[in-house]
Amino acid sequence: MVEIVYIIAIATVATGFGLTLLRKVGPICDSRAEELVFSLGFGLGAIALVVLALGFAHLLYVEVFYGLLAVGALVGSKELIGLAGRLQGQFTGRQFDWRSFYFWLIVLTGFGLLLNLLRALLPAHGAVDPLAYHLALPKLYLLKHHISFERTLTGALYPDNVGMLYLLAIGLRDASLAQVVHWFMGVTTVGAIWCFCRMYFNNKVGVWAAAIYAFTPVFVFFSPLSYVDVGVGLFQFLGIWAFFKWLREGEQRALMLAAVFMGFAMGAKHTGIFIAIAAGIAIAARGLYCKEEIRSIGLELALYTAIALGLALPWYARAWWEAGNPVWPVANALFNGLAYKGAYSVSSGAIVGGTVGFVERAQDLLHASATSLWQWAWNEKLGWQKATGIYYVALLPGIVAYWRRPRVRWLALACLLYYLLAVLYVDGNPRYNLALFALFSVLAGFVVEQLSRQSTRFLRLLVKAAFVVTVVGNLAQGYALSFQGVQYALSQQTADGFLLENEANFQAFRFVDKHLPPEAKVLLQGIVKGYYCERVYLWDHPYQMLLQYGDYKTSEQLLSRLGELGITHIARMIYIPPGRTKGVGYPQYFADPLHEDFRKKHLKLLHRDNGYVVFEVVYPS
Amino acid sequence: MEVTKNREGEDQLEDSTQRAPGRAILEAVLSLWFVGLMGYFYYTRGYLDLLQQIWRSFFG
Repeated sequence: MVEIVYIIAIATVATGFGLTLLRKVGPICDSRAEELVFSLGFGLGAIALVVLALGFAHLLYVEVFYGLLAVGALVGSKELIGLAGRLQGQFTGRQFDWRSFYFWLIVLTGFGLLLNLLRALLPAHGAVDPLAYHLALPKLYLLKHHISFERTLTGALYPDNVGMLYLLAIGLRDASLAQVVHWFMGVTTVGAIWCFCRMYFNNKVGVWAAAIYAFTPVFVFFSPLSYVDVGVGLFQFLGIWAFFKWLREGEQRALMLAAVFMGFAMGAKHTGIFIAIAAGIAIAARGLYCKEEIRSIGLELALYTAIALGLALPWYARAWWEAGNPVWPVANALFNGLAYKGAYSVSSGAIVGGTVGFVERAQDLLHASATSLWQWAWNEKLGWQKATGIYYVALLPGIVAYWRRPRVRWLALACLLYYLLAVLYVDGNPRYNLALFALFSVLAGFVVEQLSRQSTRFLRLLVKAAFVVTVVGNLAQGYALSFQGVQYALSQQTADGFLLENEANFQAFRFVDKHLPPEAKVLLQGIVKGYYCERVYLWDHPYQMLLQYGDYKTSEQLLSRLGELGITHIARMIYIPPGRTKGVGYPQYFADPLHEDFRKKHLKLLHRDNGYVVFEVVYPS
Repeated sequence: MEVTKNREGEDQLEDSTQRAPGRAILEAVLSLWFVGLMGYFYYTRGYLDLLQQIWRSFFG
């Protein structure tokens, strides 16, 4: 529970730091709430970049992180005190109407977010991506005290602003704090949606929209886990919001702020590039539509591009430097980057359909565009990352009734373009496009607010009652997902005890952490979830090209390669599931002649449990 | 019908009782679609069973 104290400290520093930076951009916010949300987002992004700079400077030490928080608090203290005073003035004397429907909707939404928090407070376990690289890479950077290139790990050169916040969290505390950071970015998004609606529609629409987004299944499932998508969604949503402000007011400051958040988003995940480019096209389109001078349009574009690209550049330049491909390993053939076996391609979805003809491809695209939202809602086989719930398909058709309102129309058109971009180009995956669902929730919130104020009293009540029933259902689902977290919070169980029960490789890695020398270098065989290994390690995942078993005919040749790589120990999964041998291409080590011969000649068993073994590699003296 | 302006100055209908008949019918249809679809979704997804299970776990 101490993680809550830490996240309050991080959020406070981020707000103060962000507010100080926001002041440099100039007066831009229409309300205190807007000021708070923009500051928080700005501060989180800025802290991520500072941690990245510390990583480049080989200064990743826990003491430095505490120093960073102290300096951040000092820099932002003046602005923070001012903001606190203004917020206090806002709330003083304000009484909450507990008889209001909206008050209880806020309470229920808050309860849902708290259930998510209980999951975030669990020791990191289960989900593969966080333990394999979202958390594992920051942990390795921390072990080495700098941002290194871990060539064998997936995502080694991905832009990773959210990962930098995880790095700070792991340094200050542990992976649970990193999960709480991701959860907190989700809560900030929910707050930002409410704020946006206040500005764009009104307060009540904001409450509906915040509830709709907060109970979207993909958000509920992923926000307490250390994926990065909720954080990316936050930066993108703030960028789009600032961009809307610029479209409306034409103030250069708003454009600069939009560029800042687009830069943070591009520096957090490759998918941020698409919306950033779309915004650039919209700048040009607006200029042409308003018959601005070409020079003026060029200047606006240059300003936007310089800021957005400048903030994301460290990540892409790093990838270019290390692998000769700024988006490595994506589009590797295009850039002729460092060898990688995976077939990663941003356009491997609907856009590139193999050798099918134009008509078939057009039909596929049309079908995907027309049915994706419906499929995401209903098709359970698509998994959590595409589980968008029912609110959007139930409420968005209602836009037609309010089409005459310019705000609804423009927002709906913007959402439609974003939706097509997401379906056709950004992997058709809602988890990668959470900012789209934040915008959808605004529209859905507007529709349900209108329906709850229609002329027939019975229908007004019916709509509100039905929504509350669905929220109760969502809370039940949230409780089921968080049940383990509830039990853990109420128990006396230690984090180690929990992980021994729930994370299969924890026992083996605990052995590694306790018994292997600090300078040991471990080869993980058949394992990618390396987070709990506190020694430097490599994957033997078949996609990486550093160690390809097929290149070695004898165990001596393999030993020679391990020697070149400096490997001293091996942690191995005893039985590789068939999906990973046939699907991914891992060898079934104990049934493989080369590996068995190698084991007999060159490996010494140090540890064995139900699923894993740890060997020492014995080199000839 | 009372009309107020939001922060952006766009007119917001605050009165729920007076709307054009066409709009009223459309909103009634949308409400029924919304309630029906959500009811079907939550019922077929087993949320009722889940609520019962949670209820039993607390109250026997």
